Amino acid sequence: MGNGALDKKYILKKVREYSMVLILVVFLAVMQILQPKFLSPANICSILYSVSGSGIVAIGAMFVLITGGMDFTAGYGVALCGVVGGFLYSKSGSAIVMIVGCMITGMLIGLTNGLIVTKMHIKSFIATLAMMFTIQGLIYIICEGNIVFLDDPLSKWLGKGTIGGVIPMQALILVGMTALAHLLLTRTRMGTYTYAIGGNEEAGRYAGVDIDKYKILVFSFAGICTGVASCMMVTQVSMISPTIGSTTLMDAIAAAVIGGTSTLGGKGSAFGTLIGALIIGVISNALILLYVPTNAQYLVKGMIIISALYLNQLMNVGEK
Amino acid sequence: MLQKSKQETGRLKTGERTVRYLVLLAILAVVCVMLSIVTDTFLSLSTITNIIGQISVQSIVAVGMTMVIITGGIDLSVGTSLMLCGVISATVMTATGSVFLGMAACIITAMVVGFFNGFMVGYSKIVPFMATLAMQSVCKGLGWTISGANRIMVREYKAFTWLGQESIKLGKHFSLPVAFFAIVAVYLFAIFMMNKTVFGTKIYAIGGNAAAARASGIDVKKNLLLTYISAGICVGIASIISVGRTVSSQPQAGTGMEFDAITAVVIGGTALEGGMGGLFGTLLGAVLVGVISFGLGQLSISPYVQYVVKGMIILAAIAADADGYIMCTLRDKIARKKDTSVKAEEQISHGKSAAEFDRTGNHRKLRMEGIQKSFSGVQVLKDVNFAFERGKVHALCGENGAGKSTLMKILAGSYGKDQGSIYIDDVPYEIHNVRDAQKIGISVIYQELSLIPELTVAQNIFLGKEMLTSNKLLTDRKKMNALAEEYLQKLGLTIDVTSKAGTLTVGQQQMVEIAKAYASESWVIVMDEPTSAITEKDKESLFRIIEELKQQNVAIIYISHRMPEIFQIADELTVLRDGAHVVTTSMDGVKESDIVKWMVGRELSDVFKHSERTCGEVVLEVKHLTKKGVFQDISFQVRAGEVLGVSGLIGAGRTEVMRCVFGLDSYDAGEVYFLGKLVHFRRPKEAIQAGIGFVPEDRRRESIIPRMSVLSNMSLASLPWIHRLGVIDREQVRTIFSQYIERFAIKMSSSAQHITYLSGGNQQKAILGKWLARNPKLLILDEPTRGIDVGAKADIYQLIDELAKDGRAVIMISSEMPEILGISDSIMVLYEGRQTGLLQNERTVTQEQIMTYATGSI
Amino acid sequence: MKKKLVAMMMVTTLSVSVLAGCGSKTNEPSEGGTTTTKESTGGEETTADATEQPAKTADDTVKIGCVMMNLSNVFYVNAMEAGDAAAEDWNAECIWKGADSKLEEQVALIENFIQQGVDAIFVDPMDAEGIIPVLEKAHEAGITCVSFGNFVDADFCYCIVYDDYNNMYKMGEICGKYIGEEGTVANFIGSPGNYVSDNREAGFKDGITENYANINLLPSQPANWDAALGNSQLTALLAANELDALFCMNDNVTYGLIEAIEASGQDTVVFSNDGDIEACELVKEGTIKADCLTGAKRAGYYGIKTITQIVRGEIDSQKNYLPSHFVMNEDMKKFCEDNGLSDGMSIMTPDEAIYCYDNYREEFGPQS
Repeated sequence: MGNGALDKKYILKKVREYSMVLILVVFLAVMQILQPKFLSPANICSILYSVSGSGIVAIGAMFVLITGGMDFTAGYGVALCGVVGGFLYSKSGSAIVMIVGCMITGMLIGLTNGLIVTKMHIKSFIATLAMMFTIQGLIYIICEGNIVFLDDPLSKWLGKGTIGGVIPMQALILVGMTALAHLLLTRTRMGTYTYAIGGNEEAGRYAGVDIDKYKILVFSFAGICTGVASCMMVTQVSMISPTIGSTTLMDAIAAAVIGGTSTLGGKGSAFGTLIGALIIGVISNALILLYVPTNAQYLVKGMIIISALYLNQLMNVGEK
Repeated sequence: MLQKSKQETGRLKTGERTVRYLVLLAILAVVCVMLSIVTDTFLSLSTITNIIGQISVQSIVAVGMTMVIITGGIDLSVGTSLMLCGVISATVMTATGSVFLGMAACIITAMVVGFFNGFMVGYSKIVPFMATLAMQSVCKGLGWTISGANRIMVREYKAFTWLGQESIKLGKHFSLPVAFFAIVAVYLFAIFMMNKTVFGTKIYAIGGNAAAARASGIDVKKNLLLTYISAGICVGIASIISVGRTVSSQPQAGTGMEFDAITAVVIGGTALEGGMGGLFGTLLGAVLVGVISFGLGQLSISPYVQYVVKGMIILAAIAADADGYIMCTLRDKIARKKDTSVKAEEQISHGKSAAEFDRTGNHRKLRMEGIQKSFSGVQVLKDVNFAFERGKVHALCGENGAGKSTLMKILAGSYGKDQGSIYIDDVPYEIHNVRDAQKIGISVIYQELSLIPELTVAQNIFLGKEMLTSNKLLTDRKKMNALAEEYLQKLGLTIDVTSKAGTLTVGQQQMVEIAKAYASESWVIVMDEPTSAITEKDKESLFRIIEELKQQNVAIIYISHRMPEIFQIADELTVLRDGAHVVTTSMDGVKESDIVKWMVGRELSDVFKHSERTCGEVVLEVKHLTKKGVFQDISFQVRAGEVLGVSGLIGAGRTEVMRCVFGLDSYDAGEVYFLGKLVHFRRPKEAIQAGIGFVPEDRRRESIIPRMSVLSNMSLASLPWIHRLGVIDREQVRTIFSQYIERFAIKMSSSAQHITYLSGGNQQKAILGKWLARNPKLLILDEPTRGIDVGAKADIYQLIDELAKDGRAVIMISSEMPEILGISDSIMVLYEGRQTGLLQNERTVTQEQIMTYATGSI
Repeated sequence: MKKKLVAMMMVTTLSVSVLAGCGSKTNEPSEGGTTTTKESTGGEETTADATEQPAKTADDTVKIGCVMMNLSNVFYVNAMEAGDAAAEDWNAECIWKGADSKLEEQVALIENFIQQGVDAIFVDPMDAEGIIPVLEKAHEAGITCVSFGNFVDADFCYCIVYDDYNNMYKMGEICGKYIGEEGTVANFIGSPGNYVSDNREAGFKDGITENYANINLLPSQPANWDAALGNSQLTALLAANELDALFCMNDNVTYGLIEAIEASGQDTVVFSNDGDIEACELVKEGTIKADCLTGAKRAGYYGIKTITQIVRGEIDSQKNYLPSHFVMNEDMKKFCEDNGLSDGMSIMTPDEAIYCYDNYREEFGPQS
C-alpha cells in the first residue's frame, strides 16, 4: 500500500481508536467555557473522587461484557461488600481486616455468579439479575441498618490521602486497577481467553480452552473489582451504611459501553473504559456546577449521553 | 466433563415450546398449592382479583418488552416512560378536562418515546442497551420537570380511572377487575400479530438473522422502529391502568419496572439473543412472578428474606426450563440408558487415559473401531471403522450429513462417542475432551473458521497453548510473534502477525488456520475442506506443506469434495454414506466415477447439464459500473435463457458488483438497465419487486434464519404478496412452497422443522425455492454449490439449467473452474476490481485460458 | 400431532384444577364480608369514632399490617425495631412490609392486608391523597386505618403526625439567621417524588426564601439517602462555591457531607435532621449546629402503641402529635432565644436527646 494511503488510513484508524478521548476533551472545553471554575484543581479532584468507585466497578463490568455476558450484581454488590467489611471492622477494629473482608465478599459474589452461569448453564443476564434481588435482601439481613464509623489512620489515608498534596490516592488506585486490567487483558492467558469466549466461544472450545474455568475467573475478578470499589466509597465518607453505591450499576455499565466495550462481546479495552468513566463523571459533575434544577438533572444527563453516543457514531462512520 | 457442544443441545423443535409452557404451569400450580397450605387466606376469590390488579401493569409492559427482545434488543426505558406518560396524560386532562385527550396524550407520548428508541437503534445503529438507558434518564428528567416531581390527582375523571379501578360483576358475587380484560385483549392481539401477520414474521426474522432479513427485502430499519413504537403503545396502555390504580400520576411510578418485565419475559422462555420465544410464555412468566410476590407478601417472613426468596425462585424457574441444560442432559441420559441396556456390557473398552500416552514414541497406526453416535435419538454414526497411519495422506469423502465432521469431532474430543474405541498401535485410549486429543497429538482444522476476530494472528495461532515468560504469569509475546512469523513464512504468507484476525480476508484466515495446525507439532492433522475459500496460489503452498508434513511422518486426514485435489495428493481413501462405512482403499486404480458412486450410492451421468437453449432479449445490461476502491468500469449484459458465469479469485470484487446491482450496497458511477429501462435499486426490496433474486454466498450468515421453520424461510422474500391486510394466508404459503419442496426433493422431517437442522444441500434448495416463488426474470447465484455434497450439486446444476430453459437470466459467481465451463453460456472474469475478460463459452475455452485472465497476466 | 394433543389436554386439566382450587374457597366468607363492587366513589361517610366496629378487649392481640415506604432506609429499620418492642408491651402483632417507594406497591400491599383480615393498617403513604381510595376499601372491610408521618385528610383515617414541614421551616429560619441573613446555602434532599423528602425540602426552602431575601439557596441535590453520593455532590459544589451553610434532611447522609467539608477546608455551618445518636454527639462537638429529633424509634413505638389504643377504643383523637425536639448546644439555644426564634419549640441538649432516642419505653412505655 502506498505511503499516502497508509497515512490517511492510519490517521483515520487512530481517530477512531481515540474518538472517546476527543469527546472527553470536547466536553471539558465546553464545560470550562460555561463554568470557569470547572477545571480548578479542587473540582478535578472532586471528579476523580466521584469516579474512582464506579470506575473500578466499570473495569469489572467490562471483563464480563467482553465475554458476552452482563453483571447486574455490581450495584448492590458494593453495598453488600461494604456491610460485610463493616461487620468485620466492628468486630476486629482493624481496617486491614475490613478491606480484605470486602475483597473476599466481592470474590464470593463473583464466584457464585460464575458457578450459576457455567454449571447451571443459565444466561448471565438473568442469573446476575436474580442474584441482584438476593443481594438486596442479604444486605439488610447482615447489617440490620446500623452504621459503622471508620476512624482509623489507614482508612483515612485510603479515603482522603493525597500524594504531593494534589493527586488523590483513590485516583492512583483507579489508574492502577486500569493498568492491571490492561495487563490481564493483553498479556495473560485469562485476557486472551476472555476475548476468545466473547468473540467465538466454539473456537475456544475446539482449541482446548477450559471455557467454564475462565468464565468463573472473569466473574470472580469482576467481584473483586466490586470489593475494591466498595472500599473506595466507604473510606471516602469513612462510614459504612447499607445505602452506598445506589447509582453505581448503571454508571459503570454506561461507562464501559461508552468506552467502546461491545455488549455483544469480543470487544473492549481497559483504557477505553477509564475514559468512559471519566466522561460519566464529568457529566454528573457538570450537572451540579451548572446549577441544573434538581428535577431536570436526569433529563440533561440523558441528553448528554445521547450526544456522546452520536459523536462516537460520527467518528466511526468510516468503519462500515 | 463431557463437553456438550451447542449443536447437541440446540435441538429446538416447536413442539418443545408447549413442553416449556407445561413446565411453567406445573411450577405455578406447585407454588399455588404451597402458598395455600402455608397461608389459609391464599386460596380465595380476592386473591385472584388482587393478583390480576397487581400484575396488570407489568404484564402489558412485558408484551412490548417481548417483541423488542425477540428482535435481539432490550428496552430499559419502559419504567420511566410509564411515569412520563402518566404525568403528561394527567396534566393534559386537568388542563383540558377531557378524558379522551388525556388517554390520547398518554398513548402518543409512549409512541414518541418508542420512536426515539427505535430511531436510535434502527437508523443510528446505537446499541439498544445504551440507547434505551439514555432514554430512561431523559424520560425521568422530563417527567419530573413537567410535574415538579409531585403527583397530579385525577380522581374526578371516572372514565380514565375506570380501566385501573373498577371491576365488572360476572356471577352472583364473582367479579373480575377491568384490567383482566385489558390484559387478555392486549395479549390476544399481540399473539395474533406475532404469529399470523407479516410484521410478526419480520420481527422474528430480524432477531434471527438481520443480514439475511435485509437481503430478503425486509426493511430492517423501519421494522425495528415499528417494534419499539409498538412496545411504546403497550407502555401507554399500562400507564393508563397504573394511573387508574393510584387515581393519580405518581413521580415514582414504574421504578424497577424494566427488571420485572425482563424477568417475566426470560422466565417465559424468550431467548435474549433474539429470534426465539413467544408471548404466551411471557404471560405465564408475569403471572408466576406476580403470584410469587403476592404469596411472599402474605407470609409474615421478614421483608428482606422476601428478596432472597424472589431471587432463588427466578433461578429455579429458569433451571427447570424445558430447553435448559439440565432438562436436556436428563433427556439424553434416559435416551442413552435405553440404548446401552440393549447392547452387551463388555463392548465398551476401558482404554488408557490420554496422560499415559508418551508423545515421543514412534506410533505407526491409529484405528477407530465400531464408533456409534446419536443425537437425542437420531443415529448419526452406525458402527464406523476408520484406520490411518503416519506419513500418508488419507482422504475422507462423503455427502454432507454422512457423518464425516462428527467422526472427526469424536477423534478431536469435541464430541463424546456413545460406543466403540480408539486404538493407537492396538493399545486402546480414551479421549474425553479436546485437551486429551491435544496430549495425544491430534489437531483439527475445522470447516467453519474458528478464529477470534479481536485477537492478533499470533494469539490465534497459539490459542490454548500460549508460551509463558519465565515467571510463568505473563504470555511471552515476543517469542510467539517470532514463531508465528516463521510459520507464516513457510506458508508463503506476508501477513502482519500483530494485526487483528478480524481484519484478514477469508482466504488469509483459512491459511492462518492451517498455520495453527502446523504449529501444534501434532502427528495427526485433520483438514476439513481447507481449500474452499483460498486462492490457487495459496492452494499450491498448502500442497507443498502437506508434502513436507508427509516427509516428517505426520498422518494427514484430508476431507474434501473436490475430486482433482483428492487425486493430486491423497494416498488412501475412505468413503462414508449416511453414517455408515462404505469402503477404504488405496488411491491407485480408483476412478472419479467410482468415488462418486460410493458417495452417492447411484450412477451419476454427466454432472453438468447444458441443454440447448434459445437466448431471448437482453434482461440486464450494466455499463461502466464503478465503486471507488472496490471495482471500476464493469460492463456486461445477460439475456433471457442465458447463464453468465462470473469467475475470478477471491477478493476480485465479483460479489461486490452483484450486491450493488441488487441494491444491497451503493455504487458511485455507471448505469444499470433492467429489461431496457434505466434503474438504480437503492434497497433490495426494489430489486425484488422488479423481478431479481439474489442467493448470497455465505448461507449461514446471509441467507437463512436458523430458528425459523423451512416454510417461513421460503416465504420471507414474498411477504408483501402473500397477505391480506397484513395477515399471512397460511394456506397460500403452504400450496405455493410445497410444490417447490416436491420439485427440488428437499429432505426434511416436517415443514415446521427449523431450517438449521437441514443439510447444506437442502438448505440451498430451500433458498432457491424462496426466490423462484417470486418468478424472477434474473437470478443472481453467489457460489451456489459451496460446502454442498456431490449429489446435491448435481441437482443444483440441473436446476440452473431448467431455470435458463424457462427463459430466465442467470448470473452465477463461482471459483470452481469446472462449474464455470460446464454451465455458463458466456463468461466474465474479474481481477482486483477490473474486468479482464468477457468471452463466449464455445466448448473451446480451457481452464488455463480463464486462469490467465483471473490472475491478471493479460 | 399426537404429542401436541396430549400436551393440550394436560394444560387444560392443570388450569382447571388451579381455578377450581381458588373457586372452591369463594363462598367461605373472608373476614369483613365479601368485597362488593364500589358503585359510588366516595363511599358512605362514617364518623371518626367508628362505632359499629367490635371493640377489642385488652387481652386479644391486635394484628397490625405495617406498610412502610421502603425498608432499605435506616429510619424504617429503627422504627421497625421499636415498633416490635411496642407490640410486645401492648399485646399486638406487627407484619412489616416495604413498598420499594412506589405508591402502586403500597396499594397492592394494603389490598393483601385487607384480604388477610388485619385489625389495623399502619401506612407511611408515598402520597397522602393517592392512598385514600385503597384506605376506603380497608375502612369498608372494618379495618382501622392509621397514617404515619403525614396527615391523610380522610375523616375515617387516624394519623400519627410529626410536623416535618414546620420543623424544617423553623430549621430554615435558624440557619438563615445564624449566617447573618446573607450568603450561599446548599440543601441536600432524599429524592424528588418521595413525599417525606418533598415535604422536608419545601419546609426548609420556604423557611429561607420567605424570611431572608438575599440568601442564595442553591438547587437542592438529590443524595438518595446515599452518603457517598452526597459526599461527591458536595465536593463538586465546594470546588466552585464558598458555602456558608448547608442543610441535610437525614443524618445518614450528613456524616458523608461533614467529611467533604473537612477535606475542602471551608468552614460551612451544618444543619441536619433525624436526631440519631451519632449526630447528637456531633452537635455536642459543635460540628452540627442544630438537629431535629423525631427519632425513628420513638415514632415507631409511639405509633404502634397509639394504634392498639385506637383499636381498643381507648382513644379516638384523629390527630396524634408525636412531639419532636430540636437538639442544640447551650450557646445555640441562647442564640435562638435572643432572636425570638424559640417560641413553641422544645429544645433539648444533646445528652438529653441521646438518652431520649433509645429510652422511648420510658417516655411512652406502659408504666407512664
